[in-house]
Amino acid sequence: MAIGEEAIVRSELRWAAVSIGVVSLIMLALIYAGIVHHINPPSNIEPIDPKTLHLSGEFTEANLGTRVSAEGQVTSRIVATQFTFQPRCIVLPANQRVTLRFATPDVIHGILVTGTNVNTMIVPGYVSQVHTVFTRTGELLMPCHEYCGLGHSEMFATLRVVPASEFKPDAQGRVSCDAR
Amino acid sequence: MTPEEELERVMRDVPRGALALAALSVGLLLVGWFLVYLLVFLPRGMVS
Amino acid sequence: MTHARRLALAHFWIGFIAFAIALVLGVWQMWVRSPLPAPFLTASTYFSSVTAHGTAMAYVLTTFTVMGFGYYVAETALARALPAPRWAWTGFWLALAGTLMAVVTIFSGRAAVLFTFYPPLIASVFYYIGLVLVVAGSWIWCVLMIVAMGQWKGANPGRPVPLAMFATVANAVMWLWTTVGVTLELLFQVIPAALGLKAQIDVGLSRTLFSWTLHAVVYFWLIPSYIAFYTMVPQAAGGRLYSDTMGRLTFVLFLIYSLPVGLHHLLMDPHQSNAFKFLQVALTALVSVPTLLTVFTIGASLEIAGRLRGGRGLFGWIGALPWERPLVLATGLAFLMLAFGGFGGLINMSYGMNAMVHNTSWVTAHFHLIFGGTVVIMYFAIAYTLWPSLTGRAAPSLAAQRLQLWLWFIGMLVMTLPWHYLGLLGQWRRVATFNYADPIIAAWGPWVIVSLVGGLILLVSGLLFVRNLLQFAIGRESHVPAEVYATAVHPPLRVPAALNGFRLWNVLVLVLMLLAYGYPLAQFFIIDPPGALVHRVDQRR
Repeated sequence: MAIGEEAIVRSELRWAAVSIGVVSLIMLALIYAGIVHHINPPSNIEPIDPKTLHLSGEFTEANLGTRVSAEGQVTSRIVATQFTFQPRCIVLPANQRVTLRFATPDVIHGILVTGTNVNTMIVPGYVSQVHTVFTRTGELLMPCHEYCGLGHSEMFATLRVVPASEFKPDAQGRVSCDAR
Repeated sequence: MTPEEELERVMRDVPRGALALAALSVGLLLVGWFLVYLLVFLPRGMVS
Repeated sequence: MTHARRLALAHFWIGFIAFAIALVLGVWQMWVRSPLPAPFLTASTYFSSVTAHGTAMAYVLTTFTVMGFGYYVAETALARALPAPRWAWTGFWLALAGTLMAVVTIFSGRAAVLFTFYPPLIASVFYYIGLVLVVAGSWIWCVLMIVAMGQWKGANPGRPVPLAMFATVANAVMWLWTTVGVTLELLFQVIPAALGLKAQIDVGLSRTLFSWTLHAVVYFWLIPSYIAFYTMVPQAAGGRLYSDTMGRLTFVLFLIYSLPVGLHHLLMDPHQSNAFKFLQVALTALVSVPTLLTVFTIGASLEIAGRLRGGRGLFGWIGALPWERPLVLATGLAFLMLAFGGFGGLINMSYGMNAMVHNTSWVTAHFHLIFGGTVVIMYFAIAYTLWPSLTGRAAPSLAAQRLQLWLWFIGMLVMTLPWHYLGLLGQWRRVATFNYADPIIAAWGPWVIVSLVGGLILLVSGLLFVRNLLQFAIGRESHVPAEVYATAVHPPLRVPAALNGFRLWNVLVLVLMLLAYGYPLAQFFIIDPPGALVHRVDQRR
């Protein structure tokens, strides 16, 4: 036989090496995106009790929505619950680092913001957290993207990204959709 | 030619064609991946 | 064939009936999601339908097809009668009883939790028990496959196990490993909650256990298609298998690398760390190696066939292949869909990049191409190939088979290409309806309708498939079944023990699973996170 079995196996192993090279290129590009562009999965092992989160602490009703801290850090706190978000409309400034924090008192939810890399699951028992910078202004959709029960299809919020000049916190540092 | 001789004849060319086809497909796949990476993913900005 | 003929037919038919019903439901679901007004729509009917579609396609069609094909391979490739056929029938009736129990529960509206469960949502306990029975039936199959190979090795010391059987047992061994995750979730978390014995569920733990199963289960569905690629397609094309050794190695790699990679389904979850996510993404990247090896090996095997038939030049052999044979045609179309689906999959698994597409239609497009495309079109082709020997009759029309395969391919592309685009735009998954009055969503409407047209083409193809199988009844009798298994260029005389059994590989799987899943699972017992209250979906308010 013109091609012996060793030659066949050698050609296969050479091709396997090419395959490993190809996926290694992809892995390198992902490491580059993670380190240089700070694009990483939203891992955040921060337990919170879903049964009591509305009673005290960070996710009580009065504390929800966008707030600017004394140091100028912008944080939005949102509760995802069957079958709505509290609040259903969120204002955020463009071109500035913002933090979104989510928690749920009931079942699994999840969010994405259309046209951006913002995406996280919201799992009962944990606070989900995403840091990002919105570069385009306007109204974006923030739907619940994980099945959470029969009302799932009606569960979405609006994210209003405004220029820094129109982002005006009140005396307590709050910014809400109603105020405008 | 006997079937074995026939096989021996074609095995002189195999796997050049398969290698070309596989390399072409994987090359296109890699180009496609990097196009999405550069044109869609990175412009959408940082999240962590 | 002594026992396998009736066993295989019974299994295939249950799978294909489930497939046909699920297909109709799938098209209705796409109609509901489109801007066109659809009948029968309530939230309960929609999500019960999604649950039934997923359960029938992912658990029933697949499990029964894998089992039926395995029984056929065990008797034909090993050329000896199946051990303990009574147990095989026990597995069949167990799985069928489980299927009926699950289906009745779904259609009574008490199991709208989708086939991936989502605890703390909890359905009627009969849905979960039904699925456990399906899995229990498949475990009997696994044991029978392992025993059949063991008996053959005992009778043929030192001889290499035929590749088709080696690969079938690789799948059986992998399936035993795969089902551990979901079984632990069901037995210790979900079923106690459904019985009212537990009021709370550790959701991070249940999601991590399910992820253990979630990737390897796809390879369980896929491996029959790969068995056809390696052991039947070169024969159908009139060539030889390029390398038997690499075929064995490929199936071993699937066994090893399809298990410790499930965390790539949880990249957007808060409760796993980036370190373990990255580790499992790296292992996921290595799963592409056996797939790319297959592309090369099967390409070279077809090249042999094409050149034997007079094809010349770098690509001339492609045109010289006998595309009029359904199994060859299906293989070409399966590889094209594998290319599109693999492209989507590479992006899904890409760590931070997963954020761009997670839980959008992009993902739905990816797994419909890989599973509905590559896997299912090969199920069709396997059925067309085996039916003459199972029924003792020749196919009345190969043209009808080719038309059916082409329609499936065209329908799948017309359906999934718009889904990729919509996914990038942010169209999210698992909703019954969209508010097309919203300006962002309104722009999606035309593409959703295009994908619905693709779904209708798939429906026509699926019904034509069932008709083509029924048509065998009018085919002429033929009691000399053609040889289906391919010969390798160098038929193996001896193979190393490592490539003739699975002991070594089981140890390796255990080590990799401890490394990849040990801490990600143990952490829930260390940090002991607060539980979530059970939410029942089977009680009417």
